[in-house]
Amino acid sequence: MILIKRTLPLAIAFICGLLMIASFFIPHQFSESVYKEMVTTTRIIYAFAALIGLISLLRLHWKRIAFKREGYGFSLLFFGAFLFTLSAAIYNDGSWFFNQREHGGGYPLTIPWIYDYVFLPAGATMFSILAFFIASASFRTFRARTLPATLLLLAATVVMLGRVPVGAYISEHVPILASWLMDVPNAAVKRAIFIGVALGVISTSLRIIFGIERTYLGGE
Amino acid sequence: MQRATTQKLLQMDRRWIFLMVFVSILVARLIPFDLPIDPGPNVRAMADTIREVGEKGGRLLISFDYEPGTAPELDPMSKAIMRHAFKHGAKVVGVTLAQNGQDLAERNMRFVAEEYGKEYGTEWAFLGYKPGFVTVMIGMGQDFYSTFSKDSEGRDIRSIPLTRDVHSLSDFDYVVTVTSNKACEDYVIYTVEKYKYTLGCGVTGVIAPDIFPFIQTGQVNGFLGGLAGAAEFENYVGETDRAAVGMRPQSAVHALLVLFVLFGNLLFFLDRYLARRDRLRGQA
Amino acid sequence: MIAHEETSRTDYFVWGAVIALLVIVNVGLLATGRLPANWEGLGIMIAAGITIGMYSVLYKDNVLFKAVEHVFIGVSGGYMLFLQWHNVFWPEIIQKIFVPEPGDPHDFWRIIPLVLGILMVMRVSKKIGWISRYTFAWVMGVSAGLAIPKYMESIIIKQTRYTVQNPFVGETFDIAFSAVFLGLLVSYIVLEWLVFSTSRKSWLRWLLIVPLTIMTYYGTIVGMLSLSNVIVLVGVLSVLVYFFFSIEHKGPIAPVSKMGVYFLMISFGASFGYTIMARMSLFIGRLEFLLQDWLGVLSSH
Repeated sequence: MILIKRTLPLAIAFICGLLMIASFFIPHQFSESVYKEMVTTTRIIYAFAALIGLISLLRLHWKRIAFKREGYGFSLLFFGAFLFTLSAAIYNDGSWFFNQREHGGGYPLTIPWIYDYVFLPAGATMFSILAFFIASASFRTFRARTLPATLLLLAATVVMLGRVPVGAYISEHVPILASWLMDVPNAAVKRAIFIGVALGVISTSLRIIFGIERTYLGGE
Repeated sequence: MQRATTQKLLQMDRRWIFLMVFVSILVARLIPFDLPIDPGPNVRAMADTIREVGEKGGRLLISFDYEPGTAPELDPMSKAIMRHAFKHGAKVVGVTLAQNGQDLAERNMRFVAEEYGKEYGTEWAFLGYKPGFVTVMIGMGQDFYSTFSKDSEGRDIRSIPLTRDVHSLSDFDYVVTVTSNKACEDYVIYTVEKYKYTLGCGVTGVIAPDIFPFIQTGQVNGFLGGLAGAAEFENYVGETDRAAVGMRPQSAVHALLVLFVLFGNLLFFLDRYLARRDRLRGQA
Repeated sequence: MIAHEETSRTDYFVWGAVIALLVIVNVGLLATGRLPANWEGLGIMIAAGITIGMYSVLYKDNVLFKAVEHVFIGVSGGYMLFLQWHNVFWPEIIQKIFVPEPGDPHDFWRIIPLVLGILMVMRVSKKIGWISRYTFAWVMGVSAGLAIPKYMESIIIKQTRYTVQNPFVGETFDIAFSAVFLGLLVSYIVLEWLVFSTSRKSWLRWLLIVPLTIMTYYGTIVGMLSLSNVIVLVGVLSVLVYFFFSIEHKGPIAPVSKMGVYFLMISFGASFGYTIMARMSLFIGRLEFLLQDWLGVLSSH
């Protein structure tokens, strides 16, 4: 059982990893086509990954309804919205599921209508709520207690003023200083972080290929 | 001054702060006033590259890698880029790597293309969404047709004049990603070196600081950061729209937040001073 | 995000007033013809309702917000399924294998991703979830194999080379200026290590910090590339030293890693400034929708 459950998957990771590295360094027609096919296969697999999330979401809300847990009314709402959208996708403004979709923006029971008037405003609003919390945080938590904290605060202030036209009103040096902060100290730090991340990615990748890193297999 | 006052102000109900933010943005949006917007070198680089591509009748790929969550910030940007491209005669192909971005991207493209009376198939095309992110990018570089073989309405891209002879990312004169995620970074890491093409990035403010190391090395040519970047772009190409207008409320609220920070610190240190004073008095 | 709070009578009054106002405004908009009485008009009203319903959470966590949130999740689930079907499952798998377009052969290679994909979805089962390991092994192996050479090429080699190559560029004055700056900085680090950290005369460090600051400011205002590159080099090195945990941060390493912290803080501050801009522009966008598309009280300029 260990062979099927552990050794074989580790062998697959090993072979796939080595093939990809090899085809990067060997510019031959055959290796290029192996590279291409493997990338395409992986790309298509990602579409299935989305299903896993959806299935667990459906299961979670189904259980809430089945056991009448607190707030199961919201789960009913979830299912209602899900089925409504799905039926709009299936009906597809009369051209049905297997046909390519229509651009019936102005009509109900089409994906574009739901997208425009439910999905888009809800998504955009959800993220914009953070604007208010970040404002409150800048009043409550930004304190010049120590030298590093003061540097952080000053940099934030200069960038906030320098990136919008109002900075130039205060002094023409403010926008220059703001772009310098981005181009020099910020770029230096991000570059160092990228180099660190790259080293981390490379070492983790090697550990995956050689079967030392196995957490992706999940528990026994 | 009593310490109770500073304490009360420091622990002010956050809803007052919310209200002040709301009012400052609303007022600044309603009252028209002019602000100078000065385009930086990265903005000019993108606009100039697009103009050059347009003047020689070249092809531009826009990768719309954002979802509704960041649409208010990136829509003005992608529209400004498309307007500039269409105005100078560049042909635009659109794709999206963000799952929930397909309808958004398609609607924006259609909107701007109709504004400029551009014909589908010869002057613009939209190829839709493919999951897989990095693998899609590599796929586009390796074999464009096997990655995007159809447009968003199911036509074979070999039957579309604009995309008939696209085999790789290098067949585009300029590639621009408008993104709220790692797309710009990943295009640089996984494709720019190998497929030899010019990449420009328009990103949200949250991502913007991460892109600077790539600008200096020339891995990214042309960069717009957040709504301010979009406003500078609009201003530089002379097509002011929502981004430039948005700079008014943006300026007002940034000024308000700087005042918040100053006021918060003032209160904090005053409170600390008063506490020490009270303690000393108590000892005496 | 928000703690569970008790609902008071004032709260019910506030929400009632908001809903009543929404209804009155929408009826008014329809009656005056500002919103068309068709599916588009209905859509805009729904969108406005959703927007305001979501913002109600800023007043207090409430039923309306939770309801809108769940509708949003439900819709995105349905939309996701639709997208994957139309962009992948149908054209890239089913069509390619079983019903290819006239002229194209059946592409039986696509059975591999189909099988691997189905194995992956088995992850949701407790009993046979282990089957998905084959797919995960494939994906992890391919991603790892892709990442190693690419990160090496695009980040480590390219970024390091650029940083190390370019410090001293430009005219003689610029190069001399930057060299003096670097000399002062190095002597500051050495003195910090040997003298300032132990001596009582720690105020002496200001004799170096002040000229360094002035030089930085001057270089910034005149846009001196050489100085910028020197500072970038120092920044990259000091941040890397700070992240290098295998050595103890003492001796000459201590002032360098401290400098790394300062660089990090400046960068975090700058990022915070940009983040504020991003979040605020999202709200500005929603406000524009309410004022322009819904209420129609705003021109576009």
